[in-house]
Amino acid sequence: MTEQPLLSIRDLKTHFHTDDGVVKAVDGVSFDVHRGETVCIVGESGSGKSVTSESITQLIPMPPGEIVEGSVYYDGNDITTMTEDGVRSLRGSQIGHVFQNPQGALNPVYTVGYQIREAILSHRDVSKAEARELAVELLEEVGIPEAPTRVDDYPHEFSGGMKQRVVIAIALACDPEMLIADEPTTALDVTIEAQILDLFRHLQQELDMSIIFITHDLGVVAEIADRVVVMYAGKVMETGSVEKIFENPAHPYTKALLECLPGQAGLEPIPGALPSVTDPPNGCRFHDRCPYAIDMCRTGEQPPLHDLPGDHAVSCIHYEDGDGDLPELEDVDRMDAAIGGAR
Amino acid sequence: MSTGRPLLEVENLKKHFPMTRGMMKEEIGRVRAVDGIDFTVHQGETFGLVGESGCGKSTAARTILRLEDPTAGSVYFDGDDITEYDKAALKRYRRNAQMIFQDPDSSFDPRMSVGESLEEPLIVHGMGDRSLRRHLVKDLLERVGLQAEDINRYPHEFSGGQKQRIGLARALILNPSMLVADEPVSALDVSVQAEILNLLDEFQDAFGLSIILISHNLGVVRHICDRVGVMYMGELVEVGRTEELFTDPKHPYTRSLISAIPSTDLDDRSQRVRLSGSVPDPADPPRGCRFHTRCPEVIPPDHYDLEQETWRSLMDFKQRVEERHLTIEQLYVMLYPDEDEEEMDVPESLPQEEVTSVLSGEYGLESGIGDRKAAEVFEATSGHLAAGDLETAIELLESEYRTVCQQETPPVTDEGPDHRSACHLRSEGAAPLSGESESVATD
Repeated sequence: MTEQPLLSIRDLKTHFHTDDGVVKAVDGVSFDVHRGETVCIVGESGSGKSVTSESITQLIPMPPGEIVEGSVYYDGNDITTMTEDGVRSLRGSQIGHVFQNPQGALNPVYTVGYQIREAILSHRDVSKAEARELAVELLEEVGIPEAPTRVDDYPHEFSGGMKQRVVIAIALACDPEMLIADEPTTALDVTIEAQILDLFRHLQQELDMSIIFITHDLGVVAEIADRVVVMYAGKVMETGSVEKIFENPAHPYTKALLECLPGQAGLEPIPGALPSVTDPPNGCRFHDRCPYAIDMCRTGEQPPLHDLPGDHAVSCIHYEDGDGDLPELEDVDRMDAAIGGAR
Repeated sequence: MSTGRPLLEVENLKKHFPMTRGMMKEEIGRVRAVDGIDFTVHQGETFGLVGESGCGKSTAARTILRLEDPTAGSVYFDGDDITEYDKAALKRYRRNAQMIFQDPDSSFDPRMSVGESLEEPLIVHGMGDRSLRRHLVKDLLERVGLQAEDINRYPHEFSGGQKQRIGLARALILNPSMLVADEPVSALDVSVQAEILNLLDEFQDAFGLSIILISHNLGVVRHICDRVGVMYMGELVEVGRTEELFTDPKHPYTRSLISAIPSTDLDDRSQRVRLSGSVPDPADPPRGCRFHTRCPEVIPPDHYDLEQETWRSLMDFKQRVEERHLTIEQLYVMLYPDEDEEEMDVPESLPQEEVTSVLSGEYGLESGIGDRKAAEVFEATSGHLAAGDLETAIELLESEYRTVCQQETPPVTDEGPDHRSACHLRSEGAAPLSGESESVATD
């Protein structure tokens, strides 16, 4: 982990200017993605996970969106200061995107071969015949049977899972070093989802790619992540290796998320709702839904990410001294009294 | 619970949708969305229907509520056959059987206040005066965890989870005895899913509700259902008590589905059964067991000594040939993928060895088939295909690569109290087909 990360996001803030005020969709997010590693961004809807990923290659509509602050270093260069042309050449050729709904990502009036060739020809200097050959190879790579004959079929002739494979083939068209996949299996059945997750794993081993995988499903995270970034209301709550997050979750929000998965023994919903995006609460964004919240959680800024042993960091004041642990629930009120008294 | 007569009995229920062509609506085929299912739901019980998209679970639910008229079969509710209900009886039935839907956004009229939406069922059924109705609505809103003052607010003022609570309130306002919940939580975040599921549980206890829960999320089903039916292509392949079905699934499809759930246990990574392919066309379901085209445990003939995986690959090959996909033109493209399509000049026949090797590669058989006889058949078939003789190839495969799974519909097997499955592997006497078909053998 001493080598320089391929992608390094530092204090990224993406805001949207709307009639109701400024929506702080991403509000100071930092994390790294190393070469050949899969990083999962996980969170509920509205947590800012998609906007984070779209800010990397500036896919967000600007205006109303705006990257207000922060930097995105890709291979050492800051993407946020690049020209539009610079970003465009990065998009597609070095960073590929896969979206949630394969139906919407393919054009129904062109053959899938044409759409893959288009991606190849716009970034590489090859002849049409070579592009066709590459398209067949790509379809084979993503596991489409009888690729040479399927290349001339139209999107409607493919099932949902197969369409997602085609979309992945397009994203791979220019040998990207990084793939950003935004909920790529959410629209698919579990049996097909398992196939697509296998494909991602296989591709990563084969091509040594970095993958940013966005999902709300912790089961999927456990299946493919090397490292995890847990987001809530535009902030990073906790980040760490997948083992740390699942076996030793530190942040109360991460714990709560793991406890509300159906199929587990107890089914504990998280009380309350996401805070307002235009007027977020002071202190920790999670404080009004957090059973461990003390008065200090309700004032000031979101606590910084405190480093914990191993590859693990958490944004929670209970871990301020670097190790620490959550207090017992019955102690929470007493802590307030003690701190109040000291003051 | 299981002593008295069940509240709902579904017998051999079928719902086919005709596909028509032209002005005369000539029927050219039928989509067999639901094709003969049987199950019962007792009072106070939650029955789960699971399966992949397109397996007919939603159609089954809609037919049970008579939102669709069944093609065949009966549905007994409290002893009466609802398929024979007239209009008045149907209206009475619908008071007792209610539904909540997947998408809480589109199930409310955005221009009606919550109070108006919730009052409507009461008005339709001619119940109470306005003040009584308002009282009932307020009371129910509080019971689903909202506030009485919310009665005058509009749907857009609520979050998705809150809207689903209102949906539940609307379904319960007539005090029904049965509730059909079609993917009630799949549009919601996990943190909110738990709330709605707990609420369903609570109401079930309070009102003795019977619930039919439709979901593709097996975690959800396992959590709240008492019994579960697994559907595949319009048929129930396994029905049983939830814990039994999840811990000891009998049907290979159930096993595959359970194994496909992404688990949060890190030790489980990629320790899963993988289903190849996707669901076949319901207008033209496979012969025999409908799952045989994807089944990882499809039964090989007695006289072949093969790895299970190899037999699966050979069955995939057979299926592809049967669908008339491996024509000589297609084989030519597979052999010479770089050639420009317009300038292609396909010869009468292709070199047999190359065809065999390209097909072995396509079906993952490079490391050999294992059984000498089976390998000979594979080579002979490739030879017919290379010569462009698709028909002979189909005949050869049909007579040589036989499996009981394709020949016969699996019988329903009792797996113990309240547990049944439909799989040849489970039924006694349906031993693998032996080489009885000498008449068509090649040697």
